[in-house]
Amino acid sequence: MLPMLKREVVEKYGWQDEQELLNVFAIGQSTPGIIAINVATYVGTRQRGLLGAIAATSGMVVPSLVIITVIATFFERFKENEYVYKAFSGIRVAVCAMLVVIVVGLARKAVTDNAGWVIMLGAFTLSVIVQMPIYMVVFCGGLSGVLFYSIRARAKSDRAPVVGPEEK
Amino acid sequence: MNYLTLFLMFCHIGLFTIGGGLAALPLMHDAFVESGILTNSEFYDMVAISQSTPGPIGINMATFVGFRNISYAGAVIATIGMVTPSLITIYLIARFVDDFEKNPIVRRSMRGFRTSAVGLIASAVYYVLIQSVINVDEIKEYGVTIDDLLAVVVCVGIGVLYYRTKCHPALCIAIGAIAGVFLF
Repeated sequence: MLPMLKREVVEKYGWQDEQELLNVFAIGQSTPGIIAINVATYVGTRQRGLLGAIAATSGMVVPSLVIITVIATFFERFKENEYVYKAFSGIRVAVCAMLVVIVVGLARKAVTDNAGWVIMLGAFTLSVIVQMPIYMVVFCGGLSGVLFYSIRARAKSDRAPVVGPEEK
Repeated sequence: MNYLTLFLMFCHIGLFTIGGGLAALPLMHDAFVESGILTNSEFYDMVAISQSTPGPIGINMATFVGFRNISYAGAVIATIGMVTPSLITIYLIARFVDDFEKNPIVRRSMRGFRTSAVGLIASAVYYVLIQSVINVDEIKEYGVTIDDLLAVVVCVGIGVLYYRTKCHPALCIAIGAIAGVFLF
C-alpha cells in the first residue's frame, strides 16, 4: 500500500514530495487509526482543508465498503451450506497460521529491548489473563512507553560526561 | 442495537486502534465476541474475508461487523464510526501542529503503543488458536482426534508457506478452504 501511495501522491499528483510523505507516514503511525487512512486524511487536509480530509478519507473507504457489503450479503446466504461450513473450519486454521507469522514479524521489529518484552508480554497477559478492557491495555502500553523510555533517556544523559567541548 | 450505539462503538474502536491496523482485532473481539454478539468462529470467518479483499483489514472488519449488526446502514455507520476519530485527530494535527512526529513524548508513547499492539494481536492469535486449531474443550470431551492433528499440520504448513513466500493471504485462505472441505 505504501509504495502505491508514494506513486500516486508524489509522482502522479505531486501533492507532497517524498520526504514530506515519509513524515506523513510517521505521523500516521503515531496517532489513532489505520495508517493508510491517516495518510489519506493528512494529504487531503493539506490540499483542501477539512473538505479535502473528508474527500480523501471517503475515497479510501468507499471501495472496502462496497466490496465487503457485497461479499457479506452472499456470505449470509451461503453460510448454512455444508461445504461452506467445512471450508471455513479450514479457513480459520489458515487465519491462525497467517496471524502467527505476522505477530512474529511484528515482534521482531518492535521488541528490541527488555522494555519491549515487558510491554508486549504485559499487554498479552493483561488482555487474555486479567481480561482488562483493551482500551485500558492500550493506554497502559503508551504510558509504559513514555515512562520506560523517558527514564532511559534521563539515565543516558546523567551518565554523559560533564566536560563539554568548550572546556578544553 | 441501535445506530448510535453502533456508531459510538466503532468510534471507540477507531480511537484505540494504535500501532497497526491489526490492533483493531482485539478491540473488536472484546466488543463483539466477549459480549456475545458474534461467536468466535463468525468473528474469525470475517477476519479471513477481510484479509483477502482489498482495503485495510480494520475498515473491512468494521464494514462487515456493521453489516452483521444492522445490514447496509450498519455497514456504513460502522465504517464512518471507525474513521471519525482519526479523521478529526489527523485533521487537527495537519492544520495546527508542526513536527508532531518529532515530539519525544509522542515518539516514546508510540513505541509503547506499537509494542503493546504486538501483544494484543498475539491475544487475537490465542483466541483463534484455541478455538479452531487446538480446541481444548473439544479435546477434553473427545480426546485428540485425527482432525486435531491434521489441523496442526495444515496450520504449520500454511504458516511456513506464508512466511517463506509472502504470498497473498487469499492463497492461504484458499488452501485452508480446500483442507477444510477434504480433510476435516
